[in-house]
Amino acid sequence: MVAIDQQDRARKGPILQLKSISKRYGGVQALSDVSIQVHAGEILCLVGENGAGKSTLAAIAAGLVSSDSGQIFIDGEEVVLNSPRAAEIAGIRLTSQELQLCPELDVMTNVLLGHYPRKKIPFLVDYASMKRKAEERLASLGLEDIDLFQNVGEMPVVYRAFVQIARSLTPGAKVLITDEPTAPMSDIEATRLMKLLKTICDQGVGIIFVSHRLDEVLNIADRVVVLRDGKLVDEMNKNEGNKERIVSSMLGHSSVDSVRTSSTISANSEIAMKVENLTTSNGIFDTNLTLKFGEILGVYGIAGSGRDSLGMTLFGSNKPTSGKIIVGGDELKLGSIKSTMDMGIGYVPAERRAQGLLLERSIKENITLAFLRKLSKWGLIQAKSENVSGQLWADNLSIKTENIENTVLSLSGGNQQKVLLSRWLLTGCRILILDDPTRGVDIGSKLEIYELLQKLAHKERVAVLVISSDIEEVLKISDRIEVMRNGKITLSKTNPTQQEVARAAYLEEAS
Amino acid sequence: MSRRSKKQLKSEGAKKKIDIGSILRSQGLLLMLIMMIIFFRFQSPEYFLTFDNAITILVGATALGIMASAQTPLIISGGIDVSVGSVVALTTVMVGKLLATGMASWLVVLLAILIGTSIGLLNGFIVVQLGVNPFITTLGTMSFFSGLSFILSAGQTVSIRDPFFDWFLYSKVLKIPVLVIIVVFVIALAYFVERKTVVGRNIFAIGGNREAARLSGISTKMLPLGLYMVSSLSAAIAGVVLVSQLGSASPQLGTSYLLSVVTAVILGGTSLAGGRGSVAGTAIAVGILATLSNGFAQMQLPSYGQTTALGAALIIAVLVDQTSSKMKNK
Repeated sequence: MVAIDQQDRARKGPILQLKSISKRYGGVQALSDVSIQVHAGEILCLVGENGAGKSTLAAIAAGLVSSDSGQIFIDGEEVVLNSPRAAEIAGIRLTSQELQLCPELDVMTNVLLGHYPRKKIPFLVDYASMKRKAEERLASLGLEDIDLFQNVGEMPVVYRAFVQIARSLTPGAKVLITDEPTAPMSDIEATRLMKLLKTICDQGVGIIFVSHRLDEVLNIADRVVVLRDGKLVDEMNKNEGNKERIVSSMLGHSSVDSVRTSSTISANSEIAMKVENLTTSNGIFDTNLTLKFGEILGVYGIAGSGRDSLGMTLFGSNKPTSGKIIVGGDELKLGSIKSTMDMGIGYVPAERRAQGLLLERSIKENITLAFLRKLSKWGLIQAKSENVSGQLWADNLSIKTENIENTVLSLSGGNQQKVLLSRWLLTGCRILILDDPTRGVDIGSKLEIYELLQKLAHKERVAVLVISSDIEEVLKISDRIEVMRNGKITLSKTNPTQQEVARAAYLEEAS
Repeated sequence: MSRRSKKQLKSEGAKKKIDIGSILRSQGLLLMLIMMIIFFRFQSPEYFLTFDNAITILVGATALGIMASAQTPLIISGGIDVSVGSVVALTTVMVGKLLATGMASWLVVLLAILIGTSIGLLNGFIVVQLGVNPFITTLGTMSFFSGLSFILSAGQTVSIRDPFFDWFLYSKVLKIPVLVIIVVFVIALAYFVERKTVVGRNIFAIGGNREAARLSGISTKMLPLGLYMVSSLSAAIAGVVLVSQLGSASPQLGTSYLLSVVTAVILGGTSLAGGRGSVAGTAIAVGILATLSNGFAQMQLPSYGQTTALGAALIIAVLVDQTSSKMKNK
């Protein structure tokens, strides 16, 4: 059957073809001479580091940005996509990273947003046929379990992505472009989304899928296109693709694995933090945990496992209902960020933009934010020491900017994450808690962050707690691993296999 | 081209554009003020550009300047206080009432200011601790306390003849009235706090990203609470200034400040969404408002024309601001 599909494709030719596309932004050549094509019923994956040109290419195909040169063909006919409307008429649908939904409206309204069926009387919406249409749309995608009348804002992120995709697939859709839909999702959620994309693809829609997660890509792609610095550097069919090849194309050099420094913790390494019988109102039950100086402790869990609450609670963001946290022999005052910081604990939150950065302020101000009091006298900021500290840490973590007075918004995701790391390194914290430190970060920066964390733990003897939704990340960098499920620790082990971790995260009940 | 040199180019480009944008923003406002001064200079060639008139303009701007300087950090922090007009009204009415009892005037002023400031404590408590939207909170207290001022005064205007208030109005240091010195000092103080202190930086952090500020150990409750109190304190001081300027106390005094304080702050380039703004911009905006009212008076135009011109100026200024930040983002 697959063979027939492929013959079919070859005969029909691509449904969407971008030919020799170039685009320049100021001094930066965002795309140069890139050609891609996608057939009906095919999934094309676009991969590349941040700034490789993936999003620009997607935006050009969706009519959001016009290219400097190149041609676009739909079903073999040349078209001009100079507006989103033109692209929509041509059958192209884009769902972008930021969810474009109305959170206060229900699923039904969101699915048909802007295309409400009308009654014969002017201005009146025909709710009965609206409900029917929305039901049909969801059913055709195998999403019957979604409640039509639930407000979108109350739904888990994966369902919101479903609704957004359902909404974009209006009649006449030929190509669906999704720009990193899985970035904020856990593995299990991403798997569900992959399934949905397969369903859509089987209905004869061509899909262009942009993602950072290579497992996903290899799992779902019919073809993979790798971009680097605005150029198409590699293209491979499903059976030719492997991670090593994709990564080396993305980076321009091989070697996937960072150098794994070995830890030197022993049974009598000093205990940095001891958590006893911690229970909170936001999803942690009777949890015990020990974190030692000089180690990286990885905590893995799927969304809703309590992993996010754990980081926030240990940092004193909310008050547990019971339990103890002991740091350096003293009991920590619970639910107070200030006393937690005074004990030398730092915290890098999961949502870089929403919880971490002051986007409009400078790199320097973002680095010194948590330490400003110490860089001041009588409440006056000592400009010189602030500049020196800011520059020092920007250099230490090789944050790529030529001036630390530039806004943090001008940095790539990976460099923004390094700004957050340096915010806490500057404070000299001895215990560092990180929640999903490489979420939405390109591979190059990811490796840099891993190396940095290992250096911190193994050389500087900092106690590092990494909470993560990425199973490979946890396996790769942790000295010890704890797995959470339903608010409890289900596995605590030094060198578990991937299967053990996955089992504990998805299946096991805590005893 | 290597990746690194590309990045450099990118950030250079971004830097240039930011500069154009910020020049357009800050200097645009200054340009507006200068053009206005030139315009009125030709309308009133013999008087407008004199030292005396400059002092008159500044004295006229005292109350607004004091309140706008305190409102600016509050709005940058993501709050707003529209109740300042009612604090002015309540303060002046209290001054009238207390003076009538024969109390010493310094004590009267102190008490009136304390009462005014306590309204800020109330505003801050409702917003910060009870979590009510700041606009709704201060709209409510505005209505409550302006009503209360009318009840207390029975709607009467009381004329005030008191040596303290006369001193306040007429005394000068090196030919410069005390009132002008006060407003310049307040603006300078607000500017200094904004630019040089940890508190100033934290105000921007809270307004820019409250959660990020909280997770960096910044108190996101005490600081806003303090800002509401400072805002009310500034309104109470403005009330005392107005009593001395007008020689009377009336519950109607505050009504004209209902929106003009917020208008001045927004005109000065501060974002209602929080996280962005400056006291310097506010100071220029206050200058524009004061010059406008002085010029209109000299041209003997109706004061309604003033509000019309002001409304147009506000929208144009915000448009320029948005256009330039769009340019920056492109």
